[in-house]
Amino acid sequence: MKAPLLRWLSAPDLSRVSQLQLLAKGVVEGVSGGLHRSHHIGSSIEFKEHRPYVPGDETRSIDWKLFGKTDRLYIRQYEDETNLRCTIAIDQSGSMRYAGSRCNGISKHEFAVRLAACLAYMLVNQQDAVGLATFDSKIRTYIPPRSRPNHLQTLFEAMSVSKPGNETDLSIVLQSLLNHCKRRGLVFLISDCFGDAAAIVKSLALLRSNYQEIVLFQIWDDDEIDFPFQTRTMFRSLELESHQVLIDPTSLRAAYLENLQSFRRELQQGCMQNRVDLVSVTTSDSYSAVLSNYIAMRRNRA
Amino acid sequence: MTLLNGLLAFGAAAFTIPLIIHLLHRSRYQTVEWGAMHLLQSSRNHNSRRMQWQQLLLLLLRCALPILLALAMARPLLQSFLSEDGQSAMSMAIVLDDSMSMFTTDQPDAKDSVKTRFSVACQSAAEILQELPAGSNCIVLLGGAKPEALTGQVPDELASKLSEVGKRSIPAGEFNWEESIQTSLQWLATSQHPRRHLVLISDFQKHEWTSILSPQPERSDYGTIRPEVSFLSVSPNTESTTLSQPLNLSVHAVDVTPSILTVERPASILTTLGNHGATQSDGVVVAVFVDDLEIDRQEVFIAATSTTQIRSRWSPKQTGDHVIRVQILRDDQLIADNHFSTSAIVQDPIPILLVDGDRRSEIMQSETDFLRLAFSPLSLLSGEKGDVFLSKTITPEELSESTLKKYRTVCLCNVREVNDVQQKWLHDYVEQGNGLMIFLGDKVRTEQYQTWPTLSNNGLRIANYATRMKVRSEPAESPDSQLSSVDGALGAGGRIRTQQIEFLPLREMSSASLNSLASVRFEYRTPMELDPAALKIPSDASVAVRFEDDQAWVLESRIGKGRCLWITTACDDDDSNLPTRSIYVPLVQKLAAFVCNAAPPDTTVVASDRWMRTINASKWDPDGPTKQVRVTKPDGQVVTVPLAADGNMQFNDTRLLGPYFATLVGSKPNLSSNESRRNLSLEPMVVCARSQDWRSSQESNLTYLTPGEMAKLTANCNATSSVSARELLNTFRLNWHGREVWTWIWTVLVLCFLAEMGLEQSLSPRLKSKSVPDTRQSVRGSMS
Repeated sequence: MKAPLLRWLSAPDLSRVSQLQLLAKGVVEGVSGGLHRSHHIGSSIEFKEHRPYVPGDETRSIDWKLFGKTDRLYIRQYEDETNLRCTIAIDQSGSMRYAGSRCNGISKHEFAVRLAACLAYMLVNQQDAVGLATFDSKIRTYIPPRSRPNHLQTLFEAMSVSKPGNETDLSIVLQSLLNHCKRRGLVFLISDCFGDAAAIVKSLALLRSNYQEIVLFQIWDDDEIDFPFQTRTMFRSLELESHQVLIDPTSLRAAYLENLQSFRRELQQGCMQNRVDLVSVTTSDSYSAVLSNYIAMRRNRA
Repeated sequence: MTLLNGLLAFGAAAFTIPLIIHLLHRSRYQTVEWGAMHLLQSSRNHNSRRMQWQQLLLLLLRCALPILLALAMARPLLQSFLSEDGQSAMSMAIVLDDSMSMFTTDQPDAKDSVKTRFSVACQSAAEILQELPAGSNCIVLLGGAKPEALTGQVPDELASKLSEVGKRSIPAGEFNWEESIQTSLQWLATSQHPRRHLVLISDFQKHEWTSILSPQPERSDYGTIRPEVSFLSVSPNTESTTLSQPLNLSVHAVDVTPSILTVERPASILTTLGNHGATQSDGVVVAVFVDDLEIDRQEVFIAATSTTQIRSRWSPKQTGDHVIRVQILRDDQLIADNHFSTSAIVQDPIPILLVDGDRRSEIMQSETDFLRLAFSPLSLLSGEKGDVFLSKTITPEELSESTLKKYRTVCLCNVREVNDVQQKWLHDYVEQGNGLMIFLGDKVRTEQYQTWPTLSNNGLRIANYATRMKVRSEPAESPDSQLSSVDGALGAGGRIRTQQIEFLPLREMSSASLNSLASVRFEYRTPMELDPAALKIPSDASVAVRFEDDQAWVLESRIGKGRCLWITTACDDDDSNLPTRSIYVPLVQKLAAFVCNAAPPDTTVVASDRWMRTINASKWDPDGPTKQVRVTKPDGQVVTVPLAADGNMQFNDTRLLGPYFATLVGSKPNLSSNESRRNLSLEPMVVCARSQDWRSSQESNLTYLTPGEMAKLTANCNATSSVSARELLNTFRLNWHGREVWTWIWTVLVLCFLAEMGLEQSLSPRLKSKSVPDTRQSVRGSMS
């Protein structure tokens, strides 16, 4: 059996991802140095402002040169840089088990895991803290963010045991994720987001209001996008086995695609309103390419 | 609903093909484990019901296509009860029996107020016609003798005509139901209406229908649609038998002898009477009328179901055509057969010229003495008038062209030789339509006759002559045979071959009787050998009568309009015992009448047969337009027919029984003293139409089909039977009527086909894929 890292990531993926750097859009909380700005004023080297001295301040913080010039006591304040606390949430509901005919046998869940592995590898390499949450109808696994290099092995092992199967309710899961993400951070939500779009958007807004930056990777299979079925088909639900419908796909295709557009539009508008990055990807895409494209776009946007 | 091509309707079973395909298609599907059920479910909620209806509609359309196609090809006849939709137009052919039996009255005592069955039939037919729906077309055929169609554009017009026809009292010939039905079916086959009816109104005499009381093969001459056949009987619906028949006397036939009548020549009128009733009839008064003048009245007794004959004498007073009518002066159930009419033609004596080649002063020694006696027996023996022929004897030297013009026939009797000029006269004389008889006796110089020009060279000769010879004959059966032996070569055959006489005038003389040629013995003859090839004789020269050794006795040739007869024996008793036989007089008279076309034309014709008459109209307005003949039919109707250039008149419409009078139309010629009115055709010409021979005709036998036989007939013909027009109309109303609707079905079929194509296209995946957005590109491009 391959090592978890090599199992999920190929050598070209690793080489491509290792050169990426993900920057948080806003300030993040952290104690160790990193790439990201923090609202904690500390001993970093980047000057922020002066303020008048008040009793109780450390005397080492007094700017004696300015005292000599102005004959007043001012305190020098520096902006602190810290590491990023990232949580990767992987949807392991039954719907993620779908693997179409045009995706080389990779299910949406496998694609999500590989994408998450790339993210974790990239973030750990830039000394950010990375945590993992897997969920279906509730959070099944939660690993708090760590920035130690050997934490990556923990994450990969957790990913490898993740099995899709049950129903999902993303809105409830996001609300329960709040209990684990009490500090500022970045949440990578990798899911197909199947469910009530309005409820999902509402939960995203709640998570967003708790100082969490959210990047939502919505995973699609090509079959779910263009609905290519021609013959009479019995569609059996991946989440609830008793739920099945026998239909003529040709007659329903137009309505299906219309519903798909509507669903995506609603989710997209909700994400935009709450400043959530929504990245729609299909399982036929290269996950490393998707990730690099997204980071490049994010960097340009910043 | 009736299917005209019912077998093709089984093609409707093909509707199961799309149904089976649909069911098989339903049972076969793939299974996909699917995640985005929420998208699918909402789509299904929106569309599933509509799509189900569309699929169901498509299935119905596909099932309907073969059903409609099969129905259209099966030519359905949409039917409904008359009370609902009985006013659709129809075609109806009505065959009316107008034979003699239909003129029976059921209550003979009150004849003024009682109608004949024919009038009842006409009234019933009119009633049926008046009840026909608007737009219907119909035909009425009078079925007696030769069927006659009453013309009319609309049923009401025909109904009014029928009321007029119903007043007629003149019957037609025997009911020709077979030709009537055939004509009706042919007319119905060309009809445009799908509702077709054939109504036959008759009294259903037993003898007419006995032939089809046994099961008959189905007719196939009615075209595509078999018409409904209905019988309407106007006869009493009882188990009638011959024994129960009421009084019914009839005049079967009237025969006038002799066949050639001349003024003052006594004629015999033989009347055959019959009694079809079950009781004998005493004191039946029978009157004989000639030209409506009663010439005889007799009282006869006729036993039950038997016949009797009466004979009346009539001595014609003037030439011309006469109508002889025999009338039973007693009313019975069928009055129409109580009288019978025939016609008799009284001619002028036929002038005949006898050229005697062996004239002697002794009595009965001249060559022509026997002929003179045979042609004019009455005047020569008893000094009475009435001879058919008026003869004159001359010598060969007296034969001239001017003399010939006065006679219709010339007899050269043992004339030694005829010079070339006389031959030419005689040739022209015959060519103009007169007759020539040449008797070859012992005076004849055959060498001179052999030099005559042949027929092909405008001459008279048709054969080669041999030397007069003696023939060997068996002893004569008759004791008065006193033939003596004379010189000459011995020959064979002194008897006439009577078995094979096809010569029309002498055909009836071949039978063994007093008037038979079998008793005649010949001793001498002048052989004539007919050699058409060598002499280039046309085919209208032939040997008419032969001896038993196959040698010719009588040879016949046609020259122009006339005839020439060569008799190889003399006309006196030198060569045979013929002049001493009783056959001699009729034989020479028949030969003379035949050779000059003196036989009277037909005096009666069978109803519907053609009446042909040669009319001398040469002096009627010779420079005028085409001559016409006005024919007055027995019912008084007048018809004008053209007269052919050769003087022949042809009249075909003789279906009514009774006398037909024909008169020339135009300016009449002036009557000169030496010509009779008859020769100038000033008098009307008459022919009487009669039924078939009374021995085979049973029109007067009022025996009808019994109810059981009628039911059998109805079943055999797959028909319905009624006894009144009202009952027949009620039967119509109870039956189905219909309209052919295949054109509608074709229209629906085409519409269904177009709808199926449209629906199929609207449900086509390819078409749908063009109408939906490319969500794949939009997903890939979205990264917010």
